[in-house]
Amino acid sequence: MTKIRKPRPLVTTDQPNSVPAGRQSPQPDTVNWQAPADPEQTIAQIQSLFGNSADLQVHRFQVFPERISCALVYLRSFVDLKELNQTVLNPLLQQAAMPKDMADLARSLPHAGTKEGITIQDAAQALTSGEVVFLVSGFASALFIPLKKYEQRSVTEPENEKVVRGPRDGFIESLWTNVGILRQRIKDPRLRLEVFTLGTRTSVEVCLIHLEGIANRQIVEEVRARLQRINVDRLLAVSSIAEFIADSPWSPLPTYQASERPDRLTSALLDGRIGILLDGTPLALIVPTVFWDFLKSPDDYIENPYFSSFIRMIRLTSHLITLLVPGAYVALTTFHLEVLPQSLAVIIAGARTRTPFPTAVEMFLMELTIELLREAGLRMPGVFGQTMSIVGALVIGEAAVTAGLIEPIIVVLVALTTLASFVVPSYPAAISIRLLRFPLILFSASMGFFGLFLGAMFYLMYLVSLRSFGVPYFAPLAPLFLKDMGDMFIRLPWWQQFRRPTYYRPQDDSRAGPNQKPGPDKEP
Amino acid sequence: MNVAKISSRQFTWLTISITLATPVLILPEMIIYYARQNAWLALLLGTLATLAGVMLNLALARKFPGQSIVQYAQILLGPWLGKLIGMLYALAFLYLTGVCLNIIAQIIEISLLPETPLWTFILGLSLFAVYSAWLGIEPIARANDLLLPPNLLIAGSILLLALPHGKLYQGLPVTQLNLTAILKGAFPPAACLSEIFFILMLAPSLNKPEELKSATLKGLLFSSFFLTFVTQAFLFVLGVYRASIYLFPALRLSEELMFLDIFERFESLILTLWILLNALKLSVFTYLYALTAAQTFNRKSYKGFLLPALLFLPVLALIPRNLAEILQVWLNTISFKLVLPAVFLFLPGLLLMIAKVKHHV
Repeated sequence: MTKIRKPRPLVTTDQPNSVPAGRQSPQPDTVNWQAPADPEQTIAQIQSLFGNSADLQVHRFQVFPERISCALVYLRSFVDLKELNQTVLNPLLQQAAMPKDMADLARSLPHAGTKEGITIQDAAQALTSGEVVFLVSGFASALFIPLKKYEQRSVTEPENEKVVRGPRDGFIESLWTNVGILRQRIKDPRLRLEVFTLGTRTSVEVCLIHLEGIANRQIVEEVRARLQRINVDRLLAVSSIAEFIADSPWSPLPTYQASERPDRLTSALLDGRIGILLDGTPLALIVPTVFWDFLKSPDDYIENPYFSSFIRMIRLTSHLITLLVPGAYVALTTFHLEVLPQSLAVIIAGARTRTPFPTAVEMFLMELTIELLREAGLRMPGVFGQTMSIVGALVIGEAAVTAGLIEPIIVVLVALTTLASFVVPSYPAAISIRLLRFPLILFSASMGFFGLFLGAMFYLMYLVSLRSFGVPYFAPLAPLFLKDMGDMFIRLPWWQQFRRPTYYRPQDDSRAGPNQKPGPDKEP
Repeated sequence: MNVAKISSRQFTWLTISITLATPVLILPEMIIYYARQNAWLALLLGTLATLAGVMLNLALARKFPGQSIVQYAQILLGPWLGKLIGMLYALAFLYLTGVCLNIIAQIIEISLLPETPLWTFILGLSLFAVYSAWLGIEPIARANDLLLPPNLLIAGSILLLALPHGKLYQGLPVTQLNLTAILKGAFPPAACLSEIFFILMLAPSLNKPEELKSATLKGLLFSSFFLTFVTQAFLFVLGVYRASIYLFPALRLSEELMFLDIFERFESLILTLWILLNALKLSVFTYLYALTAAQTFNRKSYKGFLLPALLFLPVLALIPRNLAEILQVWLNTISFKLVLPAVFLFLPGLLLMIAKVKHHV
């Protein structure tokens, strides 16, 4: 079943600039001392490195029959104290014999993942990632015991990507919990995880995930290389990784996908795409991404194929409505009134006689008002919700029309475009499209339909020129991949989708065996 | 020079777009004017003539796989004469783009926006052409993948919608052997279709060079079939007289259509589709102009030659004063009788002969 494809060269639009030697990085001052055998000296060095930070705690005690002085150094803010007392301090105090060396001591402690380190730098790094540093007088090394404890919320349903009948779990802020959720879904030893520590000050773990044997090796290597190129002091959001590694960084539409849903990441990995998880954010970054991924939702594979196909058409239409309708209305009323049927033209002309502004100005004002309402609704404390709807609906909608400032048709159209912009399942794509319609209104106001189509053609030309990690952004439509059309505008039933999407260039593209259409056995 | 690659299907579709783009609106009227009911025969003859020319071009291209005409002209004729031929080709592309640009702009002005000055359209379209040429042939081919199928589908369905209005007797008599009229009618389609000479420049971009011949011929035959379909449809629906006196029978025909009593006046839709196709054609020709110029002067990147195009295209397109002048002088005389025969038949023929002679020596 597996078919090894001949590797094609990866064509990307990514051209890394070489970093000039002078501005290498915002590295903090690094010092590499050998850890001295005297704990007090080490403690003093660590304390000076942390600048006597308030949460740096040192616990000195003496153990073993020989009364050797020891010390536990830890950050109070995220170490499990109870665990420390019960499983480290207690056994140590009861130890009868002096261990030969640190490794011997580590074996007697009930903590998997205990490491030995010899430099102060390692010790500081271990402290900042929630480990306890254990120093023993006379030994020129230290033990790092992982006892990290910090608050994390439980796995809940993703707020921004809801589905009607799908799984309810979402990613949370802890990387390893997320990986666990993923492992729960893909029980395959070929699931590969690589962890990078990025961000010179935040030192956060970034996890690159792919499925060996499915994901294209060249793309994986490309992603890895671009991740390793990142050199910045902080990485706080998945989208800031994306902005460092994505192709065509100036593109208004994202060339990457971010999702809170484990099922989405799972199906992306199984399609041969690559996931990136960042510790501290409940989002997974998925690359490579094509434009049409923003029109798909996990719902499509849960509901029946007819409805899924229908709803995809609705989403595509709503994209086009958001983008084109304001411009088209401006073009129609300003230049091409003759195209309209007579009855409609009369209504529009009647409304136009009462309003003082040109249509384009009205359209701009109204669109801006809606954007204001939207942003205000997001930022406003919840108790003012009632005020908001009164202001929005009554004052702006009703009163502006009654006063003759705005024609009612414009209010209808703006409401329609606002509604349509929320239909798109992907939030980043939706906000980009919202922005892109403003230039089109200008184009239409100055050149009518010709301007509208010229503007749209400029957009189209730009979008088809994009690539996301070597995958053309408008695949499988431009360039056309006829084989992948079964999961584009329409969604074929599962027993007909034998192949993974070929535009992601998976190494093994067979997804399901043939002849699985359910039905009674044929009479011989 | 790093040449972007397109697949042979994209090549075929580009051929269709380019050979259909301008002719589909202006050609039927010219053919019917001369050949009357024999339009199909004229188109057949025209296609045959173009086919002969294409075979000549293909034979030349096959002798130098992976190279464009500018490159092998320099090999065959030496650097100076070769560069001269390269410059001729660059000018030909620029000229054809300018003429096409002017025709589109005039038609938009006449039928869509009569009060807007011509330069807005010309400037907008030149900007677009230069921008997409800047992005390269790959995005243009992809945009073509996206636009051509719905374009043909909608155009075809509008024509089907028109067919019930047709009367079969308007297409009769099917043959009326008036040889001079047929030959006169065969000339415009042959000349229009010979814009396919662009394959001499685009051939190296094909990712499978051995499929050049089939890709080109498929595109050409499809275009000529579609043109025949359109022309015969006009003949049946409008009749010889009306089809030959209207400047753009397609627009007249769509004005009379009506669907469910609500959807009427399809001409803006037709015009939009036509502009989309032509915008792609302009982009390809602008790209090829820049590529030709770059290869003539041995430059690494063609993009430097796009800025002059941004200046010269609008200037060139603004010279003709009206539609009659552009159609009679710039298109019928200069394009059809001078530029296209030279770049499609004469120069390739010359190069092919020299190649044969040199090969034997």
